[in-house]
Amino acid sequence: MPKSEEAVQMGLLIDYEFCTNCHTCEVACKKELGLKPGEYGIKVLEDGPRRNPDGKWEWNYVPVPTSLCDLCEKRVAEGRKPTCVHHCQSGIMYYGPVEELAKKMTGKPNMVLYSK
Amino acid sequence: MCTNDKGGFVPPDASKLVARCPACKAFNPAKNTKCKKCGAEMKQQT
Amino acid sequence: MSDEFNKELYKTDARWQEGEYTVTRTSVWTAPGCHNGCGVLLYSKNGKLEKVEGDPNASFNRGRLCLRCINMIEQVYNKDRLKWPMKRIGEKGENKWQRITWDEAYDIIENKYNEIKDNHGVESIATLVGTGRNSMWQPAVITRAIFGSPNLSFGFLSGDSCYQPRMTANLIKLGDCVISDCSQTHPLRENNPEWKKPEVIVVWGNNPLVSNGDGFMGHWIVDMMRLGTKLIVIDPALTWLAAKADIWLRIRPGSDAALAMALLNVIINEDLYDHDFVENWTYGFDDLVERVQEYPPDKVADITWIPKEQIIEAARMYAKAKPAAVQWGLAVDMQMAAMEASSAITDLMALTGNIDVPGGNIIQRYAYNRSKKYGSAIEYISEEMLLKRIGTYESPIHESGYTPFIPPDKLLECLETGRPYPVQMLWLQGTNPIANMAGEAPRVYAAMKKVPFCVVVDLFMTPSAVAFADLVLPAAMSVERDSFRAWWTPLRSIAKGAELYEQCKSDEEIVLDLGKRIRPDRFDQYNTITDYLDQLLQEDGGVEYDFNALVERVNDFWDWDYTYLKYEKGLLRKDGQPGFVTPTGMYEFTSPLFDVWGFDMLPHHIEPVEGPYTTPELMREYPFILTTGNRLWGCFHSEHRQMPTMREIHPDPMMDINPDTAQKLGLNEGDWAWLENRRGRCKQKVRFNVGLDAKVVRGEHGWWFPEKEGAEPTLFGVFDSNINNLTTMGVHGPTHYGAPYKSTICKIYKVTAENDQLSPTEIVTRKGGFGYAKK
Repeated sequence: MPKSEEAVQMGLLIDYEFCTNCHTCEVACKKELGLKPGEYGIKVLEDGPRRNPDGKWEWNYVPVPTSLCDLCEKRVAEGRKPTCVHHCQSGIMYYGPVEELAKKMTGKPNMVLYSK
Repeated sequence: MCTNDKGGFVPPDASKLVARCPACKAFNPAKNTKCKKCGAEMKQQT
Repeated sequence: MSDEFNKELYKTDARWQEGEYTVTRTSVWTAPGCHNGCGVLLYSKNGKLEKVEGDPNASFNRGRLCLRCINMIEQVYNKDRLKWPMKRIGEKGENKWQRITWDEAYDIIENKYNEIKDNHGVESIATLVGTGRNSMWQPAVITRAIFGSPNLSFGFLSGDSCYQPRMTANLIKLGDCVISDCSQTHPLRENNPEWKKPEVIVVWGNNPLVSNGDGFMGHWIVDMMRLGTKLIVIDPALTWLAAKADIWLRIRPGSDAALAMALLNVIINEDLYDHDFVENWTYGFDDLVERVQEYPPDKVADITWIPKEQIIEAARMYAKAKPAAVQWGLAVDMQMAAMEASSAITDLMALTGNIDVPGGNIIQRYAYNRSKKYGSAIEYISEEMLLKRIGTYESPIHESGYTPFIPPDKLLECLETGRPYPVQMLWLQGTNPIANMAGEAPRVYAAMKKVPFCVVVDLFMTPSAVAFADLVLPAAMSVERDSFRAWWTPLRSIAKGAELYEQCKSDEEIVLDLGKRIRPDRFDQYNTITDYLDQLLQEDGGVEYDFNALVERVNDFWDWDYTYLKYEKGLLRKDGQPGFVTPTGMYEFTSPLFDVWGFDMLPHHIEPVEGPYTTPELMREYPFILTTGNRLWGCFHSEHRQMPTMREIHPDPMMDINPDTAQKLGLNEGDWAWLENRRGRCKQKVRFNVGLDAKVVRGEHGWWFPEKEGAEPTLFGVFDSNINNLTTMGVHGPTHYGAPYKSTICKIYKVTAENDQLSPTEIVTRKGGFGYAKK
């Protein structure tokens, strides 16, 4: 029996291998939710840069949706994508049912899944 | 054919800047009347 | 980025109604400042812009946007935005203004123009423009077609060192400009069957993700990485791209020409070059072979501070990749050897057979040859008047017409000495020189103060407006304009999606208004902006349709731009023959033009004018190499400092320093530090950069503080953190191109209460400058 629309848990899949810290998701979210300076619905966190034992550099950015994130309820209801997904400059954010997103992770390293 | 004489990123007409000596083929400023290398008469651009 | 999107909501029409919103589908190209022209959807209600979204149907950005456009509302309806024309009522620098009408403003300009024409000659009007904005051809038309003056210049950009050296080197060596091919020239992008992915991209002297320079959207690099492209990054600082690169060459600032010569050396001596291209399409290869022998990798390792093995490895990686592209940037221009480095890097593209091949460096012209750009209206200037151009005849390449601008360094000399004639009026449109572009900014400040009359067209009351302007005119933002963009491709509409804010006018309207007043013989033929734009689109065999038709199309690709190997197909030369637009018809490794002008025909290294190998004595006092101008997310040069959203991301100017060096100097992250050399000093906040060489520091540019008092001596704090207190004017490469903005020297020390008594801005505006010995 198919699950009803409400029962499906939605989330964001983020391929942080290519997150460049461009701040687009942060600002797009602020504008969508009307947030003030210092308030974030999604915030990009930094790890690195530092050198690994093999001499290669490690430098990661990971966007973290906060408790203010509503997965762009209003936009989604209108038939749009969440604004961070729509505008992400690297195109590394995906919105959908978490089960489907989890499948998308298979075989691709450096992805994180956010569930609402 | 592409022209962009009034701007854009296309160079000025090289024939107005540089000319080849008819005798020794050396490049000369277009305004030279004699070749700087061999002294031959340069044909003036019109 | 939207791979799939709702086609009901994201239409391919130009305009539609969506509930209460009118949606305009177009592109944005300044203001706010940017080099790109991304596709947008402007949602407005009753003429007021309410939100902006990226247009998923625009192949340029495919729905993506950066924070500048996302934050558009804050920009357009910013409380500090100029609302109406204003006339100075106090002294210059007092920031006292009176609101006037446009007619009154135009009266003042017309009277001043007549007075100058009658008493001094129109050549004593000089115009300054900024970089890469859609406000460059408009001031060119105002200056040349309306005022009749031949004197147009970058706003004191020493050595024309922004894209001019790279483009000019391209034009001299192959007769056209080349850009890296990330599939952007074709509407189908990566699905264009002829396109190939670059196997390697050399990111040389830019951080394109942040800078988006020269019409290149930086995140196309990420698109390529996701397809498997490998990177070689050449940068003194560790950037995110450098961290992800297969090879990061940490270059000593200002030594790019030497590096390029060593790469050429390895590729030639290891026989990794493209024999077919070299034999059939080039001129002077043997001379280059001889010249590169002077640049063996071990010697160049000493010059560039890059290990020899890395130079060899990078040369092999680039040469063996088929195809490979070079994505180059401003750092190449901002050094003494700018023309030489640009030439050598172009030689790399040619030597490896990567010119105009899919996934290589492809030849581009303006879409449909539209957009007259810097050269606009020069046809109105007589030969006699051209001869009056300031400084032009001291620079053979300027004289020959490669850069239809007068050399900025020479304009500064002219302001200072009154020779060949005093400048009576400055027209500034889209430029804020003392905050951003001018090298040796305090010197430029003093010189600009001497000009009797000055008009500033801008968005906000800037430090340059307060310090110099008699008249300030408010300009429209991109979303309020009807205009178009043709740099590079596609041809894009810029269509009005919101009513003009208060009394602002678009740059095009200002051209037409002034033209009708002063030169009705030239401008009365246009009743409206649309008439004028129609003509610009159609003249000289441009497009066959008019402006309104372009607005309906939104954008239009030109097949010429996505045709590869144009030199083989006879698509470059006017005579229709195969080959390049050069004196020999070939790609020129040795340039007859350089020879005719009296320059070295071949590329070579030139040491920075200050540095460990040129001024070792001076290095004892100023032990660090200073590089400047790294870009800030969301801030375009000196713009955006009024935006709360941008200032949340960038509250303060930051200088980067290796943590070990900082520790030795007793500096912690977040401390304020002085950067100082013989010309002046400025203060910025310390940020650690683990990748920087211990002897190299990096300072941000473009900083002023709209939140501070505008009147002098505070002047929005424009000199307090101004990195151009330390840079130079009048110091440039032998060709008059390239200046060492990114390779000077300094010392660093902590800001304390004792050493911060008098602010740098007060020193400049009240004490006549820093008083250091000028060389």
